[in-house]
Amino acid sequence: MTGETLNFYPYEVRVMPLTLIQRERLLPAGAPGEVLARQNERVEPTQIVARVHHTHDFRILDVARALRVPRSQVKRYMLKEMGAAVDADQPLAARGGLFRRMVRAPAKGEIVAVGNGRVLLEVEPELIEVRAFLKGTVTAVMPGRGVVIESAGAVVQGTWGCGGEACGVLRIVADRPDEPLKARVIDVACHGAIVIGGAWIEAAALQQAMQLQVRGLIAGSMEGELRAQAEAAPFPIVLTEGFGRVPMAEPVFQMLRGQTGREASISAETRVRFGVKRPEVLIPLPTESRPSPPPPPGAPLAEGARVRVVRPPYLGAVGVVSAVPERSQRLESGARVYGAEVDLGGNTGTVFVPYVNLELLR
Amino acid sequence: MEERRIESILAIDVGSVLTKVTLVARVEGAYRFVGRGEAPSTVELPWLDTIAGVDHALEQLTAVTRRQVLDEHGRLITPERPDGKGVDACVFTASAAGPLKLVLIGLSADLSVSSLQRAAASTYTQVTEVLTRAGELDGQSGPPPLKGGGKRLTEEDRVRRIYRARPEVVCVVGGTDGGASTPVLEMVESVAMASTLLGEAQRPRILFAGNASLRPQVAEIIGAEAELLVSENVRPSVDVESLGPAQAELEAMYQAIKIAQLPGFGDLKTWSKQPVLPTARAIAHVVQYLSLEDTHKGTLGVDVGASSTTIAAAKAGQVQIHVRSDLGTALSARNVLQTHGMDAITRWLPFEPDPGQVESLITEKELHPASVPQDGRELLIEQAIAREALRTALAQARAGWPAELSGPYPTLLPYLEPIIASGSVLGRAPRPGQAALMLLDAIEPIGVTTLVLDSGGLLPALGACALAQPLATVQSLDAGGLLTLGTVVTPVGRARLGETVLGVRMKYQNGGDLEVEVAAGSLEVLPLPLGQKAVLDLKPRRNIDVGRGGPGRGGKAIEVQGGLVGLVIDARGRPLTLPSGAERRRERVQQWLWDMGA
Repeated sequence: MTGETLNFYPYEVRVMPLTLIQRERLLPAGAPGEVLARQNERVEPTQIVARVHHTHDFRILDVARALRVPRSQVKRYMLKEMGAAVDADQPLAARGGLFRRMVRAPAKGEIVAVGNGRVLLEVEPELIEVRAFLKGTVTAVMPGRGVVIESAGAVVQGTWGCGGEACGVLRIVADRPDEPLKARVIDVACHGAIVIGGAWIEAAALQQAMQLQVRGLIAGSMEGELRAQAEAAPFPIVLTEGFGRVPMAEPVFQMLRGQTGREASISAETRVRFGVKRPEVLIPLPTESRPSPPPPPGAPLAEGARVRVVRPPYLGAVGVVSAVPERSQRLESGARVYGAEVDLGGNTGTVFVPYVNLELLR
Repeated sequence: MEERRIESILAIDVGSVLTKVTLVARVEGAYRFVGRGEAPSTVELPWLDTIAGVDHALEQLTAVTRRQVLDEHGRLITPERPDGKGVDACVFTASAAGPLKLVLIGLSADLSVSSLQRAAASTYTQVTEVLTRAGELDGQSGPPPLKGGGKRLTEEDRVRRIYRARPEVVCVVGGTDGGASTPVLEMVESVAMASTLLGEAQRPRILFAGNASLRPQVAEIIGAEAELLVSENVRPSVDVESLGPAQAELEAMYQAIKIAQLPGFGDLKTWSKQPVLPTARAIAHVVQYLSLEDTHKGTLGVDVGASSTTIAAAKAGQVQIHVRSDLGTALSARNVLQTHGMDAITRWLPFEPDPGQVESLITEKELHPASVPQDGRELLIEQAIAREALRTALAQARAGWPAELSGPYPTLLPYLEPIIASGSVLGRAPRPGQAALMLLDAIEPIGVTTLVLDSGGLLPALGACALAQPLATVQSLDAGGLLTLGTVVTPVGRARLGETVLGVRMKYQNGGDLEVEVAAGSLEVLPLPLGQKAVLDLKPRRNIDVGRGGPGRGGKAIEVQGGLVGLVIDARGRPLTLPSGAERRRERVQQWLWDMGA
């Protein structure tokens, strides 16, 4: 490596009309369970592929005190061994003789430890089920953990989301990417569908979507004040651009419009650190052959690259890099930074944007 | 065989947002900072490979220095070759890993648990539960205010809380050496039970730093349930606190559990013979070294990062570190807002932000933490968030400082010289006056001090270089690795607004002098550019203290160095109070920005 020019590597966002989609569907770490799907099995989005009964609560029973025996001798009085499943009210330990005493299980559960005169009883195990989420084929089984599901299809990564996962038919209700999502365009036909708006979600539209029980919402943006309401919605919401009044990026809008009527899986989970997760829209598509997987990350910022701006004053604007100046430039804030000349088209034209304020659309 | 001299050191700092590489090498007989490169960190998706970010940063370093450090297979060339390729040593610092998730358990909220909280705050930790014999305290990163215990918990509740917190480490303290035993052992039993429930994959490590005489019983209770680590008692007796050993164990666990788990870090680590230092510790090394220059005054280092804020204070080589892993300007900016509220942030702005503007900016910074503000208003909002993060972390750090780091006024900061500032929001402030004003507003220094800026983000590198070659740290610092913002004089004492509190006469080394009368409430900047020196004669009013021998005393004339800002006289008062009316406050903040050339 003897590079003489400075390379910059912006964050990459996937907006791909056809690619190989591979997703792991796993039980939570530390909760090994049963994998139900098999290698090469075709799975549907709602199909359960793995499950586990996970410890949710427990009881500590002071057997020594209840039986009035020394702590060191409790094991002698146990009627059930460690690991035994017990029903509610079932005797766990008993002492005979003149002072008969008995300890019963306060609830259905499993004895997980006996020590120091006490019994640790695991109760109310929580059933955790993992669904396939993506229509496709199981290409790997990880015993006790889950599966990898593969499918061919379109992928759109969003910026922010809330409300978990959903699957349903895509229904577009906007004609243009800069058209706000209004209540009046969400009609009964949207019931049970994943609704695609254009620009920002209006508060009344969110209410209407709730009333009509849509499966999910995809839009360009939403005002920050609506965030709490959105987080309380019973369906996932995916924003492709972020907060404010930002239109959906044109290439994203066109791609989604082309898929209206198809089944899609949307995951709105967003994590900003320690295991970053971006929301995404996955649209399985019928193909003759297995498409190529997404390119690995690592493309430096270069002329001709399609980019999206992530900070004001051009937040959400999509353009093409027309030059990557070798020297740093001064911003209105006074800071000198490296960046790119980006042609945003329309009235805006070409502007300089710091490279850290750009995302590569790939 | 004579050991080969280290001619060059590559320092790599893997931060949560940026990965920085710094080359320090011997030039004309002394170690100097030669060049640096940086790139967004790649520890998260879509990369999940720490090495990629290091490669990108090294590309920049190579472009700048023309020195090739990696071979064609992407491996570090070491030792340095005769043709100048490669380096002799490589050192690592890291803060990219998430904080170590802790549950703290002890007997007394006011004694052992309070000490444990200070020990826990010395590295990147997130305290999710604080349980005492009496009950629970609010879990939070860094020591919460202690009120002597909360509501009483049953043993079942205690086990449940540990279980639900899913900690990576449970720290147990309590009892002086040879003191309380039964209640401590009961707490340990709760920990053992919770470990049983958590199962093998989630079993926490247990650090016991309580009554030393109980170690055999503790080991017996824990048995094979979990890995037990033992350190010296944090409170060997009621009036003695010993945090060092517990801090060292926690740092070692941060390295082993968190840093070592960064994707790809295992391969990267083979480049270095030195242990990976948490970034906060590396910064503390530099502060510790600088505190040896004048053992009568303390030294302060602050680092306001995207995810965390670090305060390192030292006196005569004794360093105190305080890390708030939940306060920062990007990934942790929301915590600053949630902790203090919108008004605490907007009070530092000379304008009224648009509705939702601060909230939107925080969201943008969370989603795109490396992004930078393009317009002046967004910049000032980020700087306001930095002020609040720094103020909070410093206030909490000060509560744990020992008596040696106290000053003449209990409610004010002690005399500190110098004050070093690191972190992108400070180091990359477009105008030096902005960085200086952020520091003055957040730290509120008193007396005479020097503000030093780590504009290149070199502090972690300089601290880590000491592992390979201590002289490299010393000489690089002397060679100007950091930039002086200026000398600050802060008079303290009661005065009416506008009243003269201080006479200043500055005699420039290269001729000419300047006399100024400073009024209470003002913020004056006198020209003294970088590289110039001057002699300062201070004449405070009778009840005004400038830290030169008590109220009314100016002491001997002092030689002061020039800086990017100049000589600053901050007569705004201590503690700093902002006008209560919004309009007046904005005017005042704007005036201060203008005064500082910001």
